[in-house]
Amino acid sequence: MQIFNFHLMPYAHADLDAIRANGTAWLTFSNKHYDPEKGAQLYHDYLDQLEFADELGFDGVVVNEHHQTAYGIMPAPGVLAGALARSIKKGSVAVLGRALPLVNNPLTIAEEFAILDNLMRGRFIGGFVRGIGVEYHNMGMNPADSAERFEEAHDLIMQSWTRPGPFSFEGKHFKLKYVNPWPTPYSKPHPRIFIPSSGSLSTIGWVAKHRYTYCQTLAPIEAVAKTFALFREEAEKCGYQASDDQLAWSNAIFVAETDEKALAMARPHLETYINVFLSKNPTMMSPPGYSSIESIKRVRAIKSYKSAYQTAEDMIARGIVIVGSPNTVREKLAEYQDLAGFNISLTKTQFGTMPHEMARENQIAVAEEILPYFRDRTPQKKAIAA
Amino acid sequence: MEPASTTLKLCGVDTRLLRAGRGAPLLILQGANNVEGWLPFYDRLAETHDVLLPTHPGFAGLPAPDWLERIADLANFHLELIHALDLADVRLLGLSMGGWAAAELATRDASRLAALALVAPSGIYLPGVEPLDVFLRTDEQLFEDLFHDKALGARWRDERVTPENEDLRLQSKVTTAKLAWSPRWYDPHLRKWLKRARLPATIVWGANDAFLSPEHAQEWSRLIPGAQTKIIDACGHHPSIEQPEALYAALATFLNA
Repeated sequence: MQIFNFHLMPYAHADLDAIRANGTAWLTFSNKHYDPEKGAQLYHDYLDQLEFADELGFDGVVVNEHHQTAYGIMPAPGVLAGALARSIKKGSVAVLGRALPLVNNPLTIAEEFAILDNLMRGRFIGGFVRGIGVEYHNMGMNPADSAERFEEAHDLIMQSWTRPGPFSFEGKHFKLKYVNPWPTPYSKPHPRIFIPSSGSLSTIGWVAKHRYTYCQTLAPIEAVAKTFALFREEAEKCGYQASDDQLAWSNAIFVAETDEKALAMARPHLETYINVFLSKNPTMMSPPGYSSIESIKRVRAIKSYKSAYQTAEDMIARGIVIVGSPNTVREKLAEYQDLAGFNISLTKTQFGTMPHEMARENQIAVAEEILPYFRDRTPQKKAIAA
Repeated sequence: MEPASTTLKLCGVDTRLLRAGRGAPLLILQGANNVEGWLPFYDRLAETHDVLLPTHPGFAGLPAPDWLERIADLANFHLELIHALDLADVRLLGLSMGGWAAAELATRDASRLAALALVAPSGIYLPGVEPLDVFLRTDEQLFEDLFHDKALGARWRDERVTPENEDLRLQSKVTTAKLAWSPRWYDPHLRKWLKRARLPATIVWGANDAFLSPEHAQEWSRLIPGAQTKIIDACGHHPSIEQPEALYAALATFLNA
């Protein structure tokens, strides 16, 4: 299994009471709470962590894109990937992903990714997302156009990487007289593509059709297993068998000497991450037209549990995160790998308010106690039914 | 009065039309929340007019056609309706988002129109005057926001926001977002051509409209030559529900055009 180190870059110094009073860290939480002195230090700490991950032997590092929120201060992940592209010597750098519908000219993303792939001589991984619902509020884009713009932007980017230019592109949303980007990607025909999703049926089918890698965002392991099974079915419908390397689980891992110690240490940061940084109101998250009426209703039903406070124990019990002694973490990760059948783990080692030193210790623990045991491990299929 | 309900096919979609009364035609373009349907206020209008209330395509359970991408499409659709029904001398009454559509319609072809009335219309941008972000409000909250008389709002909410009509409300909201998300509640090109609406025009606004400020009324009057402005006291965004008598009085010129 490949284990990547995934960073959300939360604004860990956020005034948590102010977020609670505002009801959310998204959209309406004023940036007057951002202190650039503290923010600058966080950027350096977080980039140091990702460079450290490369030294420690993680298979790559991952950044992502969110806008106007204390949840994560990476609205322009390409900038941070650029800062890492020359210092990450062995592993990959993955941007998971850029929100295609939110830009007016997706060619800029093709260009950005192509530069990164050149800088890294093919060790770059590109990701495409629609952006989450709230980002249609804070980026002013019409949610009703989201799905169409995503597909069209994707097609434009892929064509720009694989068709010799110049050519013209006349889409419904994007119209370009000249498509002829310099540079083209280092990887041929194009960089590896990972698509993160919260599990919408249409996305699963789309990723399978394009034979990309599907990344399941934060979810209980049982739901992850079901989603991955659906992905395999979709791949079969497209006439091929999905590889384990097409399935990535996004998680958080915290390792300490004992289960008790690990839980005690991780608890405040996990609970802040899930209950404070991640909390959003449903109206904000489901702008009309972003998803079908059926899926709005489905998501409302599934996420109803989110209104209650989630404890670290809940998250561990549901297999959303893995926290414990080296032994416990190894057992759980192996169990989950076999249950869901993924061969890539996108692992956060810093989350919520976790300070830099603690995150580094966790990285070292994961690198020493977990990574070596999974390097050559692939999902073990359960005993064949008689 | 029980309006007659008919379905007619137009521009590739089935449209529902409620119709009641006798007299000169009075076409009502409803707001975004048109699960409201026929209001008691329309009975009053039907005493002297042939009142027509179409449901917009894409709203209240009617499928959203591919061609429906902006309010101007809705305006052209209703122009087609006027022609299909061979209406002449039409009083065109537009409420809220329907007012935007009515204004677009009048700038395109006013030849079948006798008068225009816009009640708290969206459609133009007034610098520094921000509309309430209705897309961040639940349907329940909106009934509180949009009424001056909160008790009346609560009664309407209890009657109109039900689990049974959740799908209809969601669908109307999806179409509304498609048409009005960005630019938010206006078309920058509309204001340039409002002078083409060469009609007796009346602009009506609730003094306590929390969604679209009554400050917009003066701007509309400035943009439509000769338009008269009526502000209704103790009234939110829905004068037709909250102050039907005052609205009826405000529409005197329009009704007698």
